[in-house]
Amino acid sequence: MILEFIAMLVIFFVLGTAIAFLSRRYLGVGSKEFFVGGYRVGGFISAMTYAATTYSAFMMVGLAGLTFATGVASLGFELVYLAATILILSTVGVYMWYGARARGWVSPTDMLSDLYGSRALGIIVAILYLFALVPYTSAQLKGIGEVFNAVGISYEIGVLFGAIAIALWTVVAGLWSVATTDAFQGIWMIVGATAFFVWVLQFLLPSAGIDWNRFVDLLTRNQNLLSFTWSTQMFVGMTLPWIFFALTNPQVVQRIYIPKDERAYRRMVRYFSIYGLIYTLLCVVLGLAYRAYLEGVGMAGKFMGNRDAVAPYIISLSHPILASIVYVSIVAAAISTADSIVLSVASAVTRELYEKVAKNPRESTSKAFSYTSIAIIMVLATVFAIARIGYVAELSVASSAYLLPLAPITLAGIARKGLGRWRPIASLALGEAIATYATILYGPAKMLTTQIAFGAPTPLWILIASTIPLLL
Amino acid sequence: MRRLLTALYIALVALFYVPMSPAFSNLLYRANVMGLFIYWTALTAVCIVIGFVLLEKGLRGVARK
Repeated sequence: MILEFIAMLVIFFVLGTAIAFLSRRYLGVGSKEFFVGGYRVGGFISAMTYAATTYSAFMMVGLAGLTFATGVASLGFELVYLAATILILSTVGVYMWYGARARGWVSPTDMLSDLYGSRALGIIVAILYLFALVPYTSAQLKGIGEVFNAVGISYEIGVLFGAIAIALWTVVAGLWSVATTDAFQGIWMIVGATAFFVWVLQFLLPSAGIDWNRFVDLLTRNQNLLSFTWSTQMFVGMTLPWIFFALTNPQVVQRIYIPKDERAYRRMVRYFSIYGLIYTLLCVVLGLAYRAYLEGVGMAGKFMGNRDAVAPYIISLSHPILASIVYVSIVAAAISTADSIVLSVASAVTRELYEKVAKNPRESTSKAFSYTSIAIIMVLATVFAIARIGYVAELSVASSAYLLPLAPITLAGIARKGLGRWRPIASLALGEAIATYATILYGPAKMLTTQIAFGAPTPLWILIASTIPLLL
Repeated sequence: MRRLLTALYIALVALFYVPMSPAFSNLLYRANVMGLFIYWTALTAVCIVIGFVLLEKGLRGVARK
């Protein structure tokens, strides 16, 4: 198994690195080229980088595990995200795409500070990105480490491999190397998931004597996992930050800027929609199949306390070559999300702390600033992952709540002119105050789903609090 | 037309939350064991179609500017 995995990983890394270096031919001069590809990216690459960035290792491991433990409600949670994202891309996203090339936005902090005429807002949001997204990047590295661990290679080697691949594929040609390797990884992810889906349905379930009737029986025997099993607080608390993900997370906001023309933008939205629906259905059905199989062989109870271990265990039952393809697809999902985050956070830091501060920003200094930012983010994320600091994983869950105030700020900035410089900062301060209060009270892991007042979960209060200053 | 479609889309997104009502999710389950699965998948498919129409209208609006 180890040999097959290493061979597949070498193929993956060599192909990815070759693609990254080949993409250098498209790279021009300046930060617009390095961070948003000079707004010249084609529709297919834009769609695949959007999909590979938004869908992380969470899908094949976390979502499948969540479905294993809580049933079909996980599908509603993931599909409401997809539906809301398509709405955002089809409406507000069009204006953001147009505004980026008309106003020269490179980072989402450029957009926010331009919409409100506030330099301070851009700097504050860049710092918020660093705080919220370094733990998220670290969680992706931890995911890669766990895959290596499951195969029998040390966790630390996995984290270091991930860090090297992310850093290399980011610095080679900026957005161009990130987007083209994302496309490669996005294809690997969906091919791996489809192949594994076919194996589970054709070989794994029949091997345990599970046909359709027994499948339904096993999923409804103890608790009806084909019905809605989540609490209202959990469903609302988990879905609210995801509904606005396309507006709050810089790595996906930045992808809206990159399509080269209207045709490319249209193709990005269309291909992403189809990819998202197929990938989500695959991961959720896999989660249901894992539960049916493990119930059938009397092993479901063993994984109840550690649902993230379900997918790696089932993958290990398949043929070593198929298992290696699927394990590498999880590594790909983690790398493609992490490198986009690193690039977008580096762009915000470079723009806000150097290019807008210097009187005559120089290309060489700007590049050095970008590389240094990428290196610092990667070193921090790697150290957190190797030290296995427990709260890093918890903070990565909470990061969506900390970024949530950016949703009303972005929407109001686009819809209403003349809101002034201080309203968005007040909005951000109020939203972050609620998020911090909930974190102190309930911890980062539970703050999303715990009700803090009048039966409503924290994300709803963050949204309300951060919207009020923008309406007054 | 564009505002109407956007409002319709938001209403469709709200429908994702209706299964939080046990009565509704049980009704779906009784209609078909995979009723909830089919409900959310069909809702997403409709959203995708309306999203494409909205996208066309949005891009046409930008082109006119």
